[in-house]
Amino acid sequence: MKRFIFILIPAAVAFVALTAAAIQTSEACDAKELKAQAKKALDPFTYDSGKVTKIMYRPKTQLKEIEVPVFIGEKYRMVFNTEGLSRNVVISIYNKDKESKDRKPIYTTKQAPAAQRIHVFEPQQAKFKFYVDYEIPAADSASPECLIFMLGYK
Amino acid sequence: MNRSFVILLCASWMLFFSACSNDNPPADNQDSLPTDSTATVEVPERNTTLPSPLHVAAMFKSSGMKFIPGLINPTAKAASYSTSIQRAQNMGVYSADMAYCVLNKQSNDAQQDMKTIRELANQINLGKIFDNTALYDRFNNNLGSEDSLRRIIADIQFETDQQLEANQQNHLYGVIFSGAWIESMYIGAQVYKKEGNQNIVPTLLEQMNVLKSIVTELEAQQAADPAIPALITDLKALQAHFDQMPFKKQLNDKPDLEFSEIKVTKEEMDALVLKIEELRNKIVNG
Repeated sequence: MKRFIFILIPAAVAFVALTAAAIQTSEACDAKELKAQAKKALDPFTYDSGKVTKIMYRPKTQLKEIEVPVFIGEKYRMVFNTEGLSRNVVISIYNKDKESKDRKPIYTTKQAPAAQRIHVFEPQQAKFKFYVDYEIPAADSASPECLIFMLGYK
Repeated sequence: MNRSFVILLCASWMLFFSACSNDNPPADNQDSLPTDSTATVEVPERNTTLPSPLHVAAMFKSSGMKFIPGLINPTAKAASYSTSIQRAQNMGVYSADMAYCVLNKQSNDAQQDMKTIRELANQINLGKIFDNTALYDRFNNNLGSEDSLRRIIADIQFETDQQLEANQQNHLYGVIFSGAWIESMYIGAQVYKKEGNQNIVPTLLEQMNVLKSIVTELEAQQAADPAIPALITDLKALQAHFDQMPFKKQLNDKPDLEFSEIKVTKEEMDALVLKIEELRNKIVNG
């Protein structure tokens, strides 16, 4: 009986612990709920496209870029939801890609309050493409986190 | 035995608390590993978003594109698409057709397209777009209201993106849109060809700028399905033709030039239309 308990208790504890850990990992990035929040902030613009970017922190600062094609003369709203992030990822928008030397910044969240999780930006002039850059701070992470981007038009 | 038991029990509880603790530190905490924030590593992967088929169709509509019967892909052809790439790409084709019909108040055709889109979605594991929502019924109940249909189509796009993400089928995002894009380009090109509507020319040229983004998206996903590289090759051939068109020199000389100010000859446009037709027919004929 003692031998049975000797095996059963640790096995049960291990099972519960690993299940709890798995649930935590899967809940670290609930993209569906985060996208639903972003879509609310898009209103009254019509949903055009969205991108869920998985963020894994590394020992060095990372730069990820998203290319956003747009149409001339259209009115756009960009929404970012950083609710799924544990660290401050700086979001910046440029008129050209990161390889271009003469690109101009159009928007940045660098000065935004740390508690702000929904960031909304409406560019004044749309021509061809915008480039959204995520500056991901150096850190370590065990599981991926989510940054939501959504584009709407009128 | 008792001592071993106590040690093992303690170890088990340590494992339990270790697994259940939240490892995500608050934003202001120090990192637990030595980090180097002075050097920035650029992540090489390319990410892009693509516009919705409804938005592309709306751009053509605002340039005066009228409805011409017989242009859209017959829904009867859907049964002949046998691979997931063919089904996904033609789901995009029918999405563009549906948007074209809705914006031109052709509710019967739009309804048939919607039915076909749902069937193709089921065949590529995207049935939940419609199963978990009332979108299909909402669409059929609002056939008389263009504004309502636009909102519903935008919701369908949102649900499609949700399901692709949830099912880890992100490789189909670019495939579906490539079908929608080439179909809209085909319809626009046909309206230009049959009606001589010059207002469509700037829209066709502007839309060609989306092509590079489609290729970028597909290249990022080309390992996911052996049919994707062939699709990229076809789209790149169209891109290469566009890049060599003589009018491009005007744009290179003056990058801020509006498309409406660009002079394109009839021969240039006819050659572009032909390339679009060839690629569209390849897609819809499976």
